Amino acid sequence: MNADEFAQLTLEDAVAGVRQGAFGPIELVEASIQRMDRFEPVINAVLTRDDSAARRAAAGKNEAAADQALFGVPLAVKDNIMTRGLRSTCGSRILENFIPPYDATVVSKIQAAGAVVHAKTNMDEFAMGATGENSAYGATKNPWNPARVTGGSSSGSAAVVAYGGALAALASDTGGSIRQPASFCGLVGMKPTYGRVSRYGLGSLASSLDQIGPLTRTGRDNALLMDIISGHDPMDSTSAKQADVADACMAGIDDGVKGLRFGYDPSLLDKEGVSPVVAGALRRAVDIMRENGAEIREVTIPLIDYGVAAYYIICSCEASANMARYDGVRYGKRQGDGDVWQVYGETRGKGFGDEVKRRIMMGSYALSAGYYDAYYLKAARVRRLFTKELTALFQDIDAIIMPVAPTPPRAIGAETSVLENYLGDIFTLPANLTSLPALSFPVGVLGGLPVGAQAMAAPFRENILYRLARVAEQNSRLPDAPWTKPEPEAAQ
Amino acid sequence: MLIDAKETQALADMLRITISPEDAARLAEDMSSVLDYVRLLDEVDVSGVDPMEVGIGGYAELREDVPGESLPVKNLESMSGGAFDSQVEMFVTKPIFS
Repeated sequence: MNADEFAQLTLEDAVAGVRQGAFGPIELVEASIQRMDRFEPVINAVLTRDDSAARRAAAGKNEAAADQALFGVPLAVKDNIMTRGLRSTCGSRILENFIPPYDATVVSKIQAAGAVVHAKTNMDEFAMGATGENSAYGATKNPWNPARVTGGSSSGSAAVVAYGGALAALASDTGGSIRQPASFCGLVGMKPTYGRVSRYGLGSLASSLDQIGPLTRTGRDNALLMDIISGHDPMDSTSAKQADVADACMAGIDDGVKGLRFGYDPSLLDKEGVSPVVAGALRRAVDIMRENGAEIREVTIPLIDYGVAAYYIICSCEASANMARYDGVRYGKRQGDGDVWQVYGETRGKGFGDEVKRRIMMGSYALSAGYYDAYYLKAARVRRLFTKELTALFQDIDAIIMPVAPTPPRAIGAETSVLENYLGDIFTLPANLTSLPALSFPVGVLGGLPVGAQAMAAPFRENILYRLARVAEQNSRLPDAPWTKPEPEAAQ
Repeated sequence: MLIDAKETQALADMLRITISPEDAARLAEDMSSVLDYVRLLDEVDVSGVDPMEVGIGGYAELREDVPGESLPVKNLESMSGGAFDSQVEMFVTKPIFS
């Protein structure tokens, strides 16, 4: 099997092919390496690879274990998910030499299922960003058009799957960091119900918002991975016991959407900054569902207008606490040789990028005496109201369909203000604020760039979302996808 | 501006992040624009509403306090950014009190 054939396999194809003896783990790993060698000089999706270890792991696979769910399949992992012995930088200079001494629970699970983890992917620093441009290691380019952003913060995970260097990737989502790059790269991306997937071994950004999920090319691949990584974990005190008894993500995945009730708020498309391309994609997604037998009902989500404000206060406050550990003692590249305060200051001053510094300072400001009630407490109360408003909708509907991002992927380096960047998360962060599961899925290609839509469901009802994504997949096309190309596209 | 360069510098000092005066001015402007926008939350009536500080499932029970396997000391060297002293097998920091 050559690298181009590998790039067009789905995860399910790869597992079936190995079981049938069409190819083995070694061929899969070699093809993945070749594909990365060809695309990485342009795309910059992967920060660390251990090709030798991957080859050894593939060679050491025992055929007797070929019934493992991911036997021999090479997968990529976002660089804020800890992998024992494999550098994990969180996209930051402050961790440029950090080699974790343990595996995240999700990594242990996929390895126990037979996967080979050999690539750690680029990301916005500490997951703070939505374009991939906040990485200390350079921006990742969109494989559909390398002049465009991939989206973020899971920029590298999305790109490596989009160009076919890996068949799937694990990533994290705090305000849209799986779903938005999924939409920008023509992929399926899941942000699970909060607590469904263990956060043990995830470099925390905002502990009440972060979740790990898969990025894949198909809905079935995504559901397959989700069922492997889901489950209660005693090592994560926020892990939900309900994760062990919830319906599997694969349950009924090919049952279609006939009879399901989907909510849709058309006023979202009239909001300032929503592009006609995005509006068209959402209408197309709604039409597809209607044509396939779903009932579409109009809903309203009034508090969505306050989501960005609430989110950026809560996220910054939690981030300011989580970033305190990087002090050049246990964690973080130590800089400076003065007294302890100078060492702290220089380590963090030189090690953190602008966005990280900004959020640490805003978060601490919002938590400080005199401002706590006006900012953090107010935001946390609005969060409660927003959660009540959204979850109440699911008494009468099975899912809400909404846009992923207001615009298609912009040009790398385009000048935007901090606030403009934050406002781009308006449609993704509601799922994080409210703990609900949300899935981004492709709807088509316009102007050479993919565009997606998003669906959100009640807690632990990921299986409904996957049925929706399967129907969208069966009724849309993604022509000229980068995984079908032998070389990276030229920037346009 | 809601927060000026001098306050930003003071905040950075408290948070042990060394920044230049130019950085302080730029960050002050960025943060002021966001903090100004966030005032939008004042439009929402939150009377009698409890804050939501964790995920929808609430606080989870703690696990059993059973000692687990310790990480090998030699692994700590690969974790630290230069602070681990393998001679004494400890993280070494600068004195806090002079």
